[in-house]
Amino acid sequence: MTMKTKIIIAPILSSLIAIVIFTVLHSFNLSEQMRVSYLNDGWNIYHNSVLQDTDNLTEFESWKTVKQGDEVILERVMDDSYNTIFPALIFKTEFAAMEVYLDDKLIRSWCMNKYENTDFILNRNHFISFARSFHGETLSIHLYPTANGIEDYCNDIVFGDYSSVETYVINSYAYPIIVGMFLIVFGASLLFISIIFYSFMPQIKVQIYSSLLCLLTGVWLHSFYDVHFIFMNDMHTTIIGFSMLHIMVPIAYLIIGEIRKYLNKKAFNIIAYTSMALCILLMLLHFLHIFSFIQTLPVFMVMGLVLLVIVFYEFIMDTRKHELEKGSRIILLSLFVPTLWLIVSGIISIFNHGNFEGSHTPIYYIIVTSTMIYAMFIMIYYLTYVTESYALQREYESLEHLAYADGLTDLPNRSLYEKDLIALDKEKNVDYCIISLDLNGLKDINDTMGHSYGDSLIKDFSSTLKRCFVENSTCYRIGGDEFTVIAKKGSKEDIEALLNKLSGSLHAMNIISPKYTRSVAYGYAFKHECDTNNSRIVYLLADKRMYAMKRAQHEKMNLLPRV
Amino acid sequence: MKAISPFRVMLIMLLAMLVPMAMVIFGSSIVNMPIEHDIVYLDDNWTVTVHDTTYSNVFISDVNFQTLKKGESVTLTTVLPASEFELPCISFSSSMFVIDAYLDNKEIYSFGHDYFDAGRMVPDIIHYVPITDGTNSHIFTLVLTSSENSIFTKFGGISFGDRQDLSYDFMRFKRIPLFISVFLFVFSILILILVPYLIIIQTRDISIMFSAGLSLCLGLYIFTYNEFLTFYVDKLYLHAYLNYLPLYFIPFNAICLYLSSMDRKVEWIDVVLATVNFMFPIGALLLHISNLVHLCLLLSTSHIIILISSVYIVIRLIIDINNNIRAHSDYNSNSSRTLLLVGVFIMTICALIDMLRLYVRKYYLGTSNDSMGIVAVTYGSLALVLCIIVNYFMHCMEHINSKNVKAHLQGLAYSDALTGLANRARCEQMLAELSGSKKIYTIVSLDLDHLKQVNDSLGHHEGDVFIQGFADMLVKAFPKESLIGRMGGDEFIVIMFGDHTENCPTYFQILRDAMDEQNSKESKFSYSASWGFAVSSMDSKGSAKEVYMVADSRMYSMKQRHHNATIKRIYDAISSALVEEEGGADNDDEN
Repeated sequence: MTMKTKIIIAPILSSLIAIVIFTVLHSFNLSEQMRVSYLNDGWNIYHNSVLQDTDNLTEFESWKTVKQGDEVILERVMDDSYNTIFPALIFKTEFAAMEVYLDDKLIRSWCMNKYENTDFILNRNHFISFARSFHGETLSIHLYPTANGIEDYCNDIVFGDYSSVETYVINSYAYPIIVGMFLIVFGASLLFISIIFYSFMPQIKVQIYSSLLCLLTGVWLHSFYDVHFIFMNDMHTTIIGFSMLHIMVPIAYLIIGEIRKYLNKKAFNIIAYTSMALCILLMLLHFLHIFSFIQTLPVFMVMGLVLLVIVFYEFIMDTRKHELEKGSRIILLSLFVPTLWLIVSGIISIFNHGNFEGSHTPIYYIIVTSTMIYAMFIMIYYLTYVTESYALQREYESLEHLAYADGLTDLPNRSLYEKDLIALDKEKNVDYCIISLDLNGLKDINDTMGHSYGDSLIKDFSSTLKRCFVENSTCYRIGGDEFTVIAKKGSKEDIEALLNKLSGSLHAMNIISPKYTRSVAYGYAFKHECDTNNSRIVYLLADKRMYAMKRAQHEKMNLLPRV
Repeated sequence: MKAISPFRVMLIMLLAMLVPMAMVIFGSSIVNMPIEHDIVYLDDNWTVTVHDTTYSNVFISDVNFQTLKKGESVTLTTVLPASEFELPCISFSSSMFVIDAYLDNKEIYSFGHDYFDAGRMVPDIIHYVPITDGTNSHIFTLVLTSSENSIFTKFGGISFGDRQDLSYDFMRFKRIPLFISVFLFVFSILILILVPYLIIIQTRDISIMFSAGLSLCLGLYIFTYNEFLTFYVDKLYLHAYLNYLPLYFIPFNAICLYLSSMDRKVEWIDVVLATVNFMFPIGALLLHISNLVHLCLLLSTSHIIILISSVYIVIRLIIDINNNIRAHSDYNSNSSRTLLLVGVFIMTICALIDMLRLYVRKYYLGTSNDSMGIVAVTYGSLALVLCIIVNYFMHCMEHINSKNVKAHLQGLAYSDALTGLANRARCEQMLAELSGSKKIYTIVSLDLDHLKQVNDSLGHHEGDVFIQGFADMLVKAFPKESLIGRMGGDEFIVIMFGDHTENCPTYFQILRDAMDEQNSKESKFSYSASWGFAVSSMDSKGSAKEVYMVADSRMYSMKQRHHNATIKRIYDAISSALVEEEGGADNDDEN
């Protein structure tokens, strides 16, 4: 299979699997005998005590004209055609205080004291159960909206047996519930893993941010659809949702900044920090009861739009220039898809007053799916990029040793020596000594006794050298029989003493195992002797002195037999 | 690796600990839904009639339901206190029981008769029994009829309260299991969707598929064990399958996961275990559908299989890791396998904790009301799945790593450090490759003259510069496609594909020009070299080494000519000096 066919086949197979799975899951849907009914008509609707001419909630057009401070009363007579065991109602109110009466008996009130204090009023899915003797009694819902221009202060009213209503609600919001739960656990686990990995992989900040974003998205999704009542106290759902939104924007900026290494570019910095500051300011304003989230929503939308433009811009720039690594592009893409959908749905909600929060509308699927796609991207990111980058890093570490160590002696090799010389040049005002050493007679031993003896001579020498120069000095093997030592500390006397020790140990070894003669010629030079910053000149001086010594040794050798 | 101070590591770990802490807080009662009326847990003061014997004033947890045979019933009676609940209701969960409930001897609820009479399996669900009038005290009677000969019948969590409060109360301890099971479920679906991508494009590693399967089974098992099905699915027949099949499929997935993630030969015992574990749930399903043996009756068999499989996997893992450590090679770390072991270990410990707790509760504390359920297993599965993910990362990582290291090592091993040309090993490898092929190729052997003199008179450093300079000239002179290598100190080789007989003189001329140009600039040493070339088609029948030898011998003859020319020049110079008594003949070689 070529790469091209692979690239075509993989997505087809993936979507096939997805379709199969979703079809199977769909078959789990509620059966027909679920006994719930929608109470959409048969209502007397009073808007500021004026009876409206429609009895259908969905046809009640003047929701839009309802202003802050108005009062809307919905009234109907309940009949017992349902014959339920545990009668229960569920409906959602948005930004409106509420009281529910059954025959003038108050059975539920919501945020009335907040309404009197003109505080921010939360959305909530209300589960209201009442006594079985409701037949013929009048149910009236009093709504006190606190925000203008919101359609459906009061959403689909569903009535039925408690268990049925519960299962119904859970099923109709199953998608965001499940996806949200997944995102939360997934985000939290990845966050945990990334933070632990962070202690030895400091470059995985992006992973930390994106897993945090994943976690927040999950929490937001649950609050957006007000499904907290299923598993936890839902008194603060809306606040949690808005807070999540306002934290998500700064984190998105952090991710982009980290990907592009932009955090020190001015224009981006200004936008990013302004947005972050604004988000925090908006939260402060809300919690100090100055402006509520709903009042500052347009500001937030603008910020979201700016973020979207930046993500879009980065995306376009990258498709042109291909600067980013594969992994970073995946992360950028992952930000791009959900941001786009959030903004689109936000715009729809502002201009169209569309009922986009209800279940089973296209936007419902789009929003939830986009968050799911986000999680999917993160997973792909993890599975491809993270593994690759870890692998690269580990490979560098292992190669570093390979590249810079001499295979035979395990001393640092010529490449590292050159590198260290360059590093030495950068350190001004530091004295150092370079010793050049040449192992005598290697060629003769190689030629006469064979390479294995030559190798063992080199090993003998290098181990002796290593033992002599331990502190503040590094030994290198830079050629077949050439060695150098860079000593960062020590006077001329110290170096001389160490070299004498080296010659002495070699001599001792010669006596112990006289297979061949180990001897060395050396020369050393200090930086202060050369008065230059070029370490190469120091080395050349040392080399020169080494050759002088070698010549002297030759002369001695040649002379001795004659004497 | 950059070293991070221990203090910072501590700080980071503390930060990481915030995540599980948040989880604990989320699982605690702080975020519970507020309950309007207190719930009455009907634990004690029961009158129990079983096998025609009546015991009075007993705890419900002391009742031993396990001794009931199929069709036998136990009658439980208690007095409900007066209450102020709006919608008074009694809730309890049951497994494999047919239920009849009476209030003041009037039947108010029954469940499971139709299933039992038809010989089908009675589903496990949570019951909500409505009490019509909660303001007065009533006598409440429950008749439980066992529908199977099983010791795994279950009855518990009986409480009296408001309908809505009971729903909220149910979630008290089950928030975290709910989240984790949903996570495991969705996670497995996501992986299944990504599997084609991962297997086809990334690596051929199929272990990820079985991790998805394991995650799916664990997720479904935790989900059904915690009785969430009652809330989400109203199709009771699904309960039967979902309650047992995931559990039965766990060992198969675990074994396949283990087999596919270890680089080890599959032995017959592995195949046997995998087959048994695959056939067991399939067989159970078939038996269930044909209504011969209900799924729930195979629970103890499945427990035994799980025990055997998990013991086998743990032992094999330890043995394999031990072997790996012993035969430790440089590029194969065992970190990923160790991680897998850690995951399995955590999971096993968690399962043990749950079993022990159940055991202690049942036989020592005397309460079977296990509201905690399989909490440890839940966390254990989360840990296991996370270990599997990280293991998969590391597995991919090692895979890529060893591939890259190999490539780099080849690069490193086959290049000459000083000149950057190919080294002797690479050249010999190339010659060996060419020997077998039918390609036509040209080999040039070159020898740089006077290296020894330069080394001895000017030092090794200058010698290196001398060699590097010559290498650069070679790269310039020969075509880009050719392999230029350094065979030894002053020996070089060029291997070119195709017959370059006609081009070679041009290359040599370029080389000669380059040397002349360098010699005119450089005063320290002057370049001269000898060379010879040979083409495979005309000089040999097979071995590239022979072609090289031919080229080499031609090079030597050229060297000889150089040498003779030098000697001749010296001789000429000496003789002319003798004859004309004049000196100072130039030679292009330095001694």
